[in-house]
Amino acid sequence: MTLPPARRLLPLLFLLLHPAIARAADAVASNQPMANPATPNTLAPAGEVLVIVKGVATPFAVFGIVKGLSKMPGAAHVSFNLQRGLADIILKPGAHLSDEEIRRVVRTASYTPGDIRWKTPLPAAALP
Amino acid sequence: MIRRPPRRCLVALWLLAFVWIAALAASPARAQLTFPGASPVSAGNIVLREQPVLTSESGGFQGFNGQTIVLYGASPNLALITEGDLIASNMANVVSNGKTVRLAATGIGDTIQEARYTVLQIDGIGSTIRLAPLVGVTVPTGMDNANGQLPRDVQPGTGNWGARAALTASWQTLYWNAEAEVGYHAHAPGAGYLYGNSFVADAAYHYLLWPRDLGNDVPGEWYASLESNYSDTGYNRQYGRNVTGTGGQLWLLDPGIIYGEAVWGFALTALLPVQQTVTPYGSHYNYGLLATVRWSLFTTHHW
Repeated sequence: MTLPPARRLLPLLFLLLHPAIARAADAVASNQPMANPATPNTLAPAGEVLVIVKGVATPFAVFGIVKGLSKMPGAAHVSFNLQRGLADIILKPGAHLSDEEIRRVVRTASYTPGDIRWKTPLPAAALP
Repeated sequence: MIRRPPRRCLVALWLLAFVWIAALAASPARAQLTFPGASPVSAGNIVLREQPVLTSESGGFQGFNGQTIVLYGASPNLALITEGDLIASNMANVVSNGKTVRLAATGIGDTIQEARYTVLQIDGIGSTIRLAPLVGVTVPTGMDNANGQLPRDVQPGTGNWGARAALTASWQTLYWNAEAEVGYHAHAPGAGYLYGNSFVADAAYHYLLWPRDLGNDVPGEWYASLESNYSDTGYNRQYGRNVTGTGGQLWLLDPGIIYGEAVWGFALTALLPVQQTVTPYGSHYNYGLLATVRWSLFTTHHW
């Protein structure tokens, strides 16, 4: 009996390794939410804002909200978690954004802003 | 990092392009089109949709409409929509000197300018309900005499101005979407010919097939879709008389598949007649095939 060529075994090898590959991909993906490719996160984050955005139900809708938020001055990188309706905005160093500005951008994108939670630093409006 | 579409998607796009070109070459109709729903469009968002439709009717009638739709979010509530047939081609059998010959009328179709305004918006996390009336004007940009050997209603353009009004509604959730439209399309007479006014009632349901887990990193979504299109159209009239074979009622059910990413998406839909009432000498609708490709662009220019 002759053995099949090695390349014919590749699909079989893939099937055997598929669960492991899928787990590895999930692990990577869990740290990489849906990203805006136009603004890669090359800066060290100076702060982060988590914004609940209501009304976003499809990837098509994600496009509008991520584009709008990433156009804000001070936004370095924006990602969106569809299930939680959560926009994650990484700020540039020295960025000054206010809650009201974020809410305005969300409304302009045709959605409804919810809670806004700041991870360092505080919003400009809250600074002394 | 720029996400490149998977190889299978590229192959599917090429296949779509091939089908579109093949349909152009074959030339084919009066197209039943999917409707603009009340789905949210962000201010500054531009959506470009290409919708080639192929239809077949009894008596050798075939139609092809290469429809282009541009949707622009002018403000958070106002969307401006332009629908136009860059190419429309109708083919029909005509009896001439005792022989049946196959003729085609090909050219540019009409354009519809529409404005849609969202009057009700109920947003939750991962869901939204919208209600948006829509008004529009049909501009007779089409060729109403592309082939003088064929009847007026087979020409690519109507040659008539018209008005359109509709009420659209949508309910989107993470796992299913429902849309509905009720509308009326009226025509003004042009060159002694008047197209029949039509009442339309459409409904669509999209069910998320994959992925069911919508955590982080959702690259795209596959939906199964089922759409219903009902239309009741009056007789066309020429010089004050009803034109035989025009008008009637048609109810279509349209199963399909949809793939959507943030920037682009496509859909393939079959248009299948469930019930139809045709006028004497009118043709029966056999089937239709609709392909849709969508691109999203973004601009900071808006109201």
